[in-house]
Amino acid sequence: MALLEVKNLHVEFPTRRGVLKALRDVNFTLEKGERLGIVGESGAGKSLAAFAIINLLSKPGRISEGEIIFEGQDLSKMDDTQLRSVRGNRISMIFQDPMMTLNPVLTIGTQMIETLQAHRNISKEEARLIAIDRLNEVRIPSAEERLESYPHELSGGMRQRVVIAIALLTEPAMIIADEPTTALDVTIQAEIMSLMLDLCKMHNVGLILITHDLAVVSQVTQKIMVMYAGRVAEQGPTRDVIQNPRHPYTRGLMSALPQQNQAGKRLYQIPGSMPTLDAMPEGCPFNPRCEYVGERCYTTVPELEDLGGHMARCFKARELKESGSLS
Amino acid sequence: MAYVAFFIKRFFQAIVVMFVISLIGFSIQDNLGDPLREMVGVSVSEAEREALRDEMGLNDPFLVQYGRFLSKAVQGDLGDSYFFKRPALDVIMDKFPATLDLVIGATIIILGVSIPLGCYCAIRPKSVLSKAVMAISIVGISVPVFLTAIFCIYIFAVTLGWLPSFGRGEDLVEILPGWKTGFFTLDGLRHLIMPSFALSSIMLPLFIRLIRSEMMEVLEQDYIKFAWAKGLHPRRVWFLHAFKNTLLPVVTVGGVQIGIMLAYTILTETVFQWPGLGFMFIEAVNRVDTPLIIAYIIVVGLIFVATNTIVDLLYTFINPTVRIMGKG
Repeated sequence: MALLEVKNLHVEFPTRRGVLKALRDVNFTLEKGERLGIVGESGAGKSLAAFAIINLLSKPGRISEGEIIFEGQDLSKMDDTQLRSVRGNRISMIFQDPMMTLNPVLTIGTQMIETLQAHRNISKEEARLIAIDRLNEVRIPSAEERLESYPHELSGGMRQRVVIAIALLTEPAMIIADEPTTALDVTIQAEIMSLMLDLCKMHNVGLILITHDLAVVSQVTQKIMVMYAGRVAEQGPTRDVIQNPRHPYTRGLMSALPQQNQAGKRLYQIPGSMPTLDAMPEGCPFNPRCEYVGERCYTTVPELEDLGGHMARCFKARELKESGSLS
Repeated sequence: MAYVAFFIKRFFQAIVVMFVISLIGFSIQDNLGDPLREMVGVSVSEAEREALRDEMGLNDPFLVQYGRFLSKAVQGDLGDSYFFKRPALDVIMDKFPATLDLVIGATIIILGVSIPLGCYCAIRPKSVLSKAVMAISIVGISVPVFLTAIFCIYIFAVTLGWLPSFGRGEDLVEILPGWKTGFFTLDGLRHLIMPSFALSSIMLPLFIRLIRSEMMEVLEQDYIKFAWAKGLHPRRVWFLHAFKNTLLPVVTVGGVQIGIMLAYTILTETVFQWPGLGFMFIEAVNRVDTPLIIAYIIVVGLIFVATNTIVDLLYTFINPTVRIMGKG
């Protein structure tokens, strides 16, 4: 049985001007210890998909349809008390900006110990020892003293290490990391990413990595899911998708990577920008920006087509396979 | 080390503020009317009045008078009250405990009511109770203190006869020499309830709204979302993670407001015939008791400056970020 199985997930936001469908028909699975990357531009719904898993959507967002089977239980049907025993316990989260994630007026120690005590019946002293253990694991020097520190006394990279330590405290089965390195210096990004990868492998923790950095995804994850305008555009094994992208959007993202260009040439850019939820075009939402666009694309939304373990939501998915890489 | 430097800095700031207050306070004395008229009878001739003025130094140039006042003031002598014929500071100290009782009573009401209600309204902004509290608080802010006071007297003293309508009562407890408080006897408390409530009536809605809006903002922060993601109990998220962050701005604004409350005691004390500073001040104005008026202004100014300084110090205690900045 898979660790996590998301089936037909829909998320919507009721607003005064009607219901906005922020996430439509998202399906994926994660095995124990497996790592999945969710990729897309800002607003594609990737964070939403992650937050929906532990039902931590900002109001008034809600799951309108679908199942989220985690360790055999449907998280989408759980009440708050049941969810609380999963959140921070079996599923941990790592947020984007470590400057904002830790509570500024509480010490690191308080914020670590409370997490353990919320889920386990242990004394403060026992919790402290586990916390020190985890801080050592994320290679924070003089861990014991750091427990007394306030977040602002640590650098951004150090704070993110603390957040990772908190995420690992309860030995979760899965970690959801929402752009964990975006807010950090480039030099520290790689450090934090490889630390996360090591720890996930060591503890055999499943990872959902949300990012817009395809390079990171290709190094860290086994599976990838490319999202566009609230829908899955393409998903499959990371290597397959990266080497042989079938959706024009994924191709665009690939070509926009600096590594794909020669020195002196302008960076490629996907023309236009992603439509907002209240201004979706008819047909395929990518049609205004697509260079392969055809008649059908303006009238109907393509289905997610299975191309042998690798799926793409494009009418031309099979043709694109033959034409090979774009660049 | 940081604290010492901070103290010294605040101390000098306070001295400058006090100097300005004393200058303003002293310079209004000529505009209050003629103290001689109140002090002497009609039978005293103009020549005698002039001689008395000379004797009292009222005819000296302003700067000479101010210099004399200042040199005495720094030694703790704010002049003698014309009416009471004794040091103005002594008169003020006599009345101060009554006012302090009132301010403490009002503060207890404000904190006791605004914190739970403010938090509730922030956590459940859409509930019926929250909407009712918000609506009533608008009314509360708009109704002037003296009107609230008079309504209270009409309802609880005149109509229902539950509470006494004026004064502090007879049964007071002396906790320090010359310092009596009504907090420890039933009679004292019964006398305190209405004036304290009336005094709190302006600040209370303000505090509820302040706590509500600050807490709503805090609840949107990432660290609160992270606290939820950690699976913490809602009580811990609301009352530790969110509330502690809500306190920072509330302490800053609130501390100053409690200082302002001293000013509102003038109205409340007048309506309830409360023998405190405010009541004394109104009487002093009626009697053109200039030294007492100036002494009052200076003492209230001092309390204001002191509360502000204490608030700043308190702020550094609950906000770890400020603590570090002092060190650096």
